[in-house]
Amino acid sequence: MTSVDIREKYASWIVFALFLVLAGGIIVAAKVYYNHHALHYREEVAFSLSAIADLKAGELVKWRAERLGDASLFSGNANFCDLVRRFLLDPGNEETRERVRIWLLRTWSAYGYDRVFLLDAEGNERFSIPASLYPGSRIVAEGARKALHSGKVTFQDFYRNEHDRRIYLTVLAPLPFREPGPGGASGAVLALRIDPEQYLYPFIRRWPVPSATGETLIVRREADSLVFLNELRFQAGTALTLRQPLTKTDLPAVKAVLGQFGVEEGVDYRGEPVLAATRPVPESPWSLVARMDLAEIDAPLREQVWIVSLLVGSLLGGSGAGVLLLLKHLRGGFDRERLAAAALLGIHQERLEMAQAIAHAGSWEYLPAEDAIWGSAETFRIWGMEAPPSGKVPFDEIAARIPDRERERVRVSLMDLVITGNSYEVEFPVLSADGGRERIVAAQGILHRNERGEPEKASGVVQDVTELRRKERELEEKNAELERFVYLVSHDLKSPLVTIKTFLGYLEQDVARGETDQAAQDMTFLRNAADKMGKLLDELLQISRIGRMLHEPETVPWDELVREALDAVAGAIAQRGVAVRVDPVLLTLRGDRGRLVEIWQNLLENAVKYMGDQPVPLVHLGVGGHGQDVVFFVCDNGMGIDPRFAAKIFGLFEKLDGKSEGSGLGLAIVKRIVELYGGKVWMESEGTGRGTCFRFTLPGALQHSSKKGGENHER
Amino acid sequence: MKGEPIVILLVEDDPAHAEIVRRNFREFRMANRLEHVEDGQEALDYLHRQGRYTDPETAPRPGLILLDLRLPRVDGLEVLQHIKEDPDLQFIPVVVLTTSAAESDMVRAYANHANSYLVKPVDFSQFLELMKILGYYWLVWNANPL
Repeated sequence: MTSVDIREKYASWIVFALFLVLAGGIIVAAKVYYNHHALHYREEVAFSLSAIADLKAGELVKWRAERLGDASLFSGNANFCDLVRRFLLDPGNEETRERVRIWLLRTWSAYGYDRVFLLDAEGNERFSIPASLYPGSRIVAEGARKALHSGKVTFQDFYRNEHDRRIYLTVLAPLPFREPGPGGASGAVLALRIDPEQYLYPFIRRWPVPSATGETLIVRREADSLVFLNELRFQAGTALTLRQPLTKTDLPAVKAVLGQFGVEEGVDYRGEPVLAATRPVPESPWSLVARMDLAEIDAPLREQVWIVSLLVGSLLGGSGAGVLLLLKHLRGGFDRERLAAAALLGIHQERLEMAQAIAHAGSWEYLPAEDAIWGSAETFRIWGMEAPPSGKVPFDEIAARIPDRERERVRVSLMDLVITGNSYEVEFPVLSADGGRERIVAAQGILHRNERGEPEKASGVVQDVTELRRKERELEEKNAELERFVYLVSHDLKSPLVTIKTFLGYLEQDVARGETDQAAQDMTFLRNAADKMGKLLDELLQISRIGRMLHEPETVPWDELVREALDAVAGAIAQRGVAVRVDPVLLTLRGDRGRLVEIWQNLLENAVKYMGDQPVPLVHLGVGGHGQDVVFFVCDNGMGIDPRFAAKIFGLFEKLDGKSEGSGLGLAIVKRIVELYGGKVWMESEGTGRGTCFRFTLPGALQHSSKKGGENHER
Repeated sequence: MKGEPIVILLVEDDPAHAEIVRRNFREFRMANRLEHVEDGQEALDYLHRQGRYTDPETAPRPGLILLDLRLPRVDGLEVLQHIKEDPDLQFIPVVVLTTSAAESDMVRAYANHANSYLVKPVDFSQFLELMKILGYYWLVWNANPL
């Protein structure tokens, strides 16, 4: 799993969590809002129910008081009472009859009573406006007797007339007589009958605002029952017939008749859940209930629920869409990142390949299951093979490139790595496919194990160390030379020192003995030794200068270099009478002019010095070969050199002739300068007395040059 | 001890050093014959009676070889190796007498069966003392099958 995958997963989780939090927040906010709203709304409804209940209860009280007031007018009117007495005494008297009729008619028409009638002390109806088809109720007659007896205006509550089956209320006004009436009666009663359908029921039913279920009703208690007093909105024929036991306390009306008033939820006569406000109607047996179905109350809430739900839904949908967009955007970002990572991987791959190519180091993997090797591009370059498209080749193909003498050793150490995990570090030669030169390859590897610890594969690096080993060898040679140099210097300096000290001792003895001749001889040895030391020091200085380019490189024709060298050794050449032959060669060299001249100068000096007893001494300078293979030569017909000593002559301070004047440095200097220009110097001689040829190459100093033959000339 | 003087072969390229050795032998009156060659090749020629040294009279077989290490043409160690590998020559005591105190030289000398390794002292009296002891030791006291 890449880091991008992990981050994408992580981001997805974060976005998902964000969505959850957002959704939770929306839902909680909606719920809180709704609850608050519902509570507030219910409070409002309850408040209006209460207000309606209060209003109606107040109206009812007022209405009742008015009715009682109407009755009291008659009760306290002595004239009217006397008029009634007279009427009862003499019902046939037209005058009194007419006066009573007018009184009653006026009352009936002015106050809207259903019927106004007179009852005598026995409760018999004696006069009625209007004249009725049905007689008054027995209940009224009974009430009239009681009212007359008590002398108080009585409000006769809802009752049903047994004759017309209708419901009425009646206010009874006792009319006391000052003088005895018919049969010794002490008074009569005026009944003001009220038909609740005319005013009371409509008033009770009236709801101040439009409402589908709003209803006020009045109830009263009768023994263990609740009695509904008016016609209900949703049930016909209920007045005075519908009863409920007082045990059904979930009815707000029951609670009201039990004296518990207020606003509360409950069920109504139909069993519907309702919110009801209950009020007592003072100075009456009534309780008033204003109720409304919860269904109606909650209808706007349900609507609200819908609206809120819709809002929540759209908010959730919106945030979900937003989250999805965000996710998509993020994914796009991650995909872009992946693409960028893939591109970067490609760049890294390229860089790795380049780095491997520059370092001449390739990477490889050995797969034991296939006995195959996977290698990077550079690995195959090092092996001198064409890289297959899969990058994988059987191990045998690789092994075939290793010379026979080494193959087994390489395989054994690879197997050792795969089987035991022992470190793999081998160096072996590899032959390139074209059978060209051998390369030295160094390979290192480690073993990879799977989770169960079993060897799975080996991987490592392979490096072309051909150049490295060559340079190591060179360095070793240089080191050895340096060691030898130090050794030789210490030896060669010590040697004359021993001479000097010893002969100084002898000289002292000579002086003591007075041996002048001996002293002179000893001093010669001393002088020689001192000269030798001085010369050695000069040469040391000289050799220390080689290897340092002293001058800017310049382009010089070959014959000019040779001429300069010849001029430098002209004295010695003339003295020995050596003939010099220079081949006409058109060749230019580029390098430190002084150093290049030194090559020929030293070789010429060498040739002249070791001319031996050659009667016709000759030195021949020229150039052989072509292009980069140009080989320079300086040949003589002098004493020659035993081929056995060929390797030794280029060493520092080496000389083949102990008596010769040479320091043994000349050829060493030549070798060093030639090597500075990447060349080689060697000697050819057929043996003592047969002349010597020094040949050398100077690839680093060769210019694009042409070489032309021409006439020879001698000097 | 035998009546005939022992021939000493001095292999030394430095004429001054050869003179010192010669003088010392003379000084201590060792009536021995000192033959001097100047390089390794000459030493081999002498021992094999080649080149200039074909005459047994002028090139008698040495009873002791004083060998310098640093020599022109053929190196002292090569000469030593040659002597010790040759059945005819290997019993001749070879005393390496050199200015080199380098350990590598000593190792190579002993590896090639040098009989002794002496470093030429820089001090005059020490050099004289060394030559005196060397003379007595190898020419008087040292016994060999020759």
